[in-house]
Amino acid sequence: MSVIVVRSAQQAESVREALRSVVPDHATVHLVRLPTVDSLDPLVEAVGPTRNYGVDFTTRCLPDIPSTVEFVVDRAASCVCIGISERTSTGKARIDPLTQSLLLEERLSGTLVVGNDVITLREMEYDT
Amino acid sequence: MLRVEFQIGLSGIPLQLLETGENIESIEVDNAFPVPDSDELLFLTVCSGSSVSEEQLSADLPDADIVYVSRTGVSHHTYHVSVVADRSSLTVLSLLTENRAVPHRIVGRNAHLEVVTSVRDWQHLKQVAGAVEEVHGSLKLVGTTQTDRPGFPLGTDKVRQSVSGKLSEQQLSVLETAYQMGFFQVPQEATAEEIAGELGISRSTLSERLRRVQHNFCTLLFGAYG
Repeated sequence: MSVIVVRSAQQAESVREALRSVVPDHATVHLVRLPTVDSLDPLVEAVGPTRNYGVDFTTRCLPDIPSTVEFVVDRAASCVCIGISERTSTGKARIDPLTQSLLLEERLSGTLVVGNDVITLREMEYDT
Repeated sequence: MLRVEFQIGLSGIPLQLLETGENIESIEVDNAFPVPDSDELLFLTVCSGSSVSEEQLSADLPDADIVYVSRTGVSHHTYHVSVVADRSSLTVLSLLTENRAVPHRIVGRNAHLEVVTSVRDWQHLKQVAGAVEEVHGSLKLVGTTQTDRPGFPLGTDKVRQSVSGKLSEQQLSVLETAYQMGFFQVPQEATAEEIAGELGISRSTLSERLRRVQHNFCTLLFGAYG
């Protein structure tokens, strides 16, 4: 099971990169957003996760950062993809508070990969 | 390998200088070497809005021993400062090296320390962040990127130091004015006429001086021409 954290309704390319190169075929994908992000419907319509990538998916709005971290831990997601919405002046993928919470969460470990459009946490293991 | 940028609150020498130092805008750590008895020799670049004297720095840093202060900038007040201070005066550097992270950049400005470091992987990032948070209370991750090489530790001022003394004051003045006015921006923010007007020289003189600067830069990079 994979989780894709959508940080902006304009992140269709991030979601495509995640579905194309990270999420295994036939996986179940949870597209997750915080209330600060508008509806995911237009993004889902543009990307077509089932139509174009053959995955089952759900969309969820989680109330805050701690809930998002708990969602990932509770479901023991095998990978978490976080869209890169902005880069720093030196080209680094900008880290927002949600990404920081996931990266520094003690219970999570695995492999961190920084791509063009997506930060991916792969081969996730959970110390619960 | 991951290159990571984070921010923490000011402490030690950067805090002392930015809080008490008059008009000091930023402090960058260029290098550091251990000195026996838990001291370290720190090489800093200090940018100020006005002139800075060794006496003033000594007063701002009563617990440190100022080794030398030398002005580096032309139209701005930038100084290379070397001090011997207790290792606790820059704990973040000790924390990075103790945890085997490569420090690339440590700059104090705008009420916080900006730090760029290389870590092996996600676990290493968590280890380093945990150690920094334990001492500094909190840490804000700013950005990250994947890299194949650890890169050079600190000393980002090497180019400026290499150029210092190899370009004339006049050439540096032309270059810095053109740079500060946005001449090298794309799109250009100032024309050659505007730069020449600012410097009180003709456009052809400006062009000649800039070409000499470019030639000298190329000599530094590639060796003598011909």
